[in-house]
Amino acid sequence: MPTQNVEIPQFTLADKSAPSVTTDAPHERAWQPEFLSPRGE
Amino acid sequence: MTAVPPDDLISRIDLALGSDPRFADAPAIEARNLARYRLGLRILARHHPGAADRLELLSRAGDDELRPVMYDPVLRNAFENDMVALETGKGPSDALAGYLVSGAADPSGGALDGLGPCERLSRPHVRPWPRHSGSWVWTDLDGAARPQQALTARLEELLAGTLSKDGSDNRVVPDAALLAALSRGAGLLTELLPSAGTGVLPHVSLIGFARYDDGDETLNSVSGGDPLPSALFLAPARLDDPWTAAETLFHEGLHLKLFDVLRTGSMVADPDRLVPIPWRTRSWTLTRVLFAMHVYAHLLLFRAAAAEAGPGLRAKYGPPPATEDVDQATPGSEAAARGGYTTSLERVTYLARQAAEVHGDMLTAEGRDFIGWLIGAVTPLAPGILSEGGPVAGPPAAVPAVEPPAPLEPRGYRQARPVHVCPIPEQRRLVAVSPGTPRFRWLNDHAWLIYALCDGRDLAALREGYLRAAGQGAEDGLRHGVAGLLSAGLIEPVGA
Repeated sequence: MPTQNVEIPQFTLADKSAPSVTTDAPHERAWQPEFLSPRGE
Repeated sequence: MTAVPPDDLISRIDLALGSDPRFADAPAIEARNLARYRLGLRILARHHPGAADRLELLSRAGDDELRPVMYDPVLRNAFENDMVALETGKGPSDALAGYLVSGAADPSGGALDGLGPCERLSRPHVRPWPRHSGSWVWTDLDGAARPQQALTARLEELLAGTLSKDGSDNRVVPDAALLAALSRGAGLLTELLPSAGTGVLPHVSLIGFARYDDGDETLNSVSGGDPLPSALFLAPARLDDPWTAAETLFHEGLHLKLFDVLRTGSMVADPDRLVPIPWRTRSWTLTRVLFAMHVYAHLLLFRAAAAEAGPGLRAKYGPPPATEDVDQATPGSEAAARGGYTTSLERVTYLARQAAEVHGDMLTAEGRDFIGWLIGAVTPLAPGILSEGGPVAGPPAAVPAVEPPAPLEPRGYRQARPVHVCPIPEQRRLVAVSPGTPRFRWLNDHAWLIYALCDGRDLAALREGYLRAAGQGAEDGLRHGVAGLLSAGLIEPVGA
């Protein structure tokens, strides 16, 4: 559930990882063309 | 060395393509999406005081109540539009709040029924694969009464905007035979690929049918992104043969899965990057390349599994197609003139190399990991898709590709306020959003720890806390983590 408190994670960090801060982008979810015959998408 | 039996290999790849928590496992992807919705509803509540109670209440609801509402095509579209309006400074817009306040999304009598707002209006109610998910069929909608009238009108409007032909004129109301063929196609898909095949179905909320054929082109199928979320439409002819039906459901379900993955992590940094496609006359965006590659890679598995299908499946569903039916090259394209690119393997090889090796600099770390996972999973079926030692063949990039970070602030950092966060410890992730700049930020375990340690303590204490957990060699990680959090607006230097 949402909270306004950032608690320290209670698990061991993954060894082969590095800090990553990403976001999501609406432009990647805007559209996929129709799948048509005979020319595909 | 003993050769791996084909069916064991197929089972292993099926499991790999259906179980990865970041890119494939439907419950894990759904958990991230629900966390995102809970946060987004809190943000919308701050901007719409008149609907704040309804929005907050939905944010606090259990998954079984939240999911049907937020995976409804009309309400999901409204939410995404409202969030984009805030992100781009055009907002606030109140589409979602409007549906909630009007009562259009409420079950009759107020009792929870497990149905989404649009599904509730369908007559008859049809769930074609209830053992696997709550997907429902657009039969007829009983939307004559207010306030539900707004939902039916909006759903028709979204469909019309998704099909290149006028959607409302082309929609087909399914009869019993068509519904039976739909369930049969899904049955084949889940029996053939119990993990990867079954795993696309929870990403489908709405299944509709549409038909058009103008002589030049015939609709096979289509699925929606944010403009018509969680919905796919099939041409009835695609259900004539169960193998074609299963493959088409797989194809469009994979698109819907990837849309859900992309709601919790961007893969392409440059939306305008174009990639030439030898079997088409127009270039594709890099995002479209990833979508097509995703499907073609899975089709390698589908076809391998079909070729190895046992007598039980063949007796039940008939023989699989003897040859691969890949759509034609566009007239005027390089492939139309010179040949080639007539198989899924040729196409996925080209797309993967373009994405990973030619345009890899435009992928996010998530995008690089995605290609590494996807192509790595199907490589036993088709060795050599990626060049040996290609950019994603090795371990994922250890450090995000950002500008060299500035020196760290000796007085330390603190979290920017206000902020709403939602921890997902089982996935080692935290999602955060600040109402001032409402953009969802996804932190992995390392970034989450650094963020939590940015509580006003000085740099020496921050460094000591992080290196104790990450190892003494993680100084660069700390610098990049702080830079990423600063860039996202989640922290600020003490004293700023």
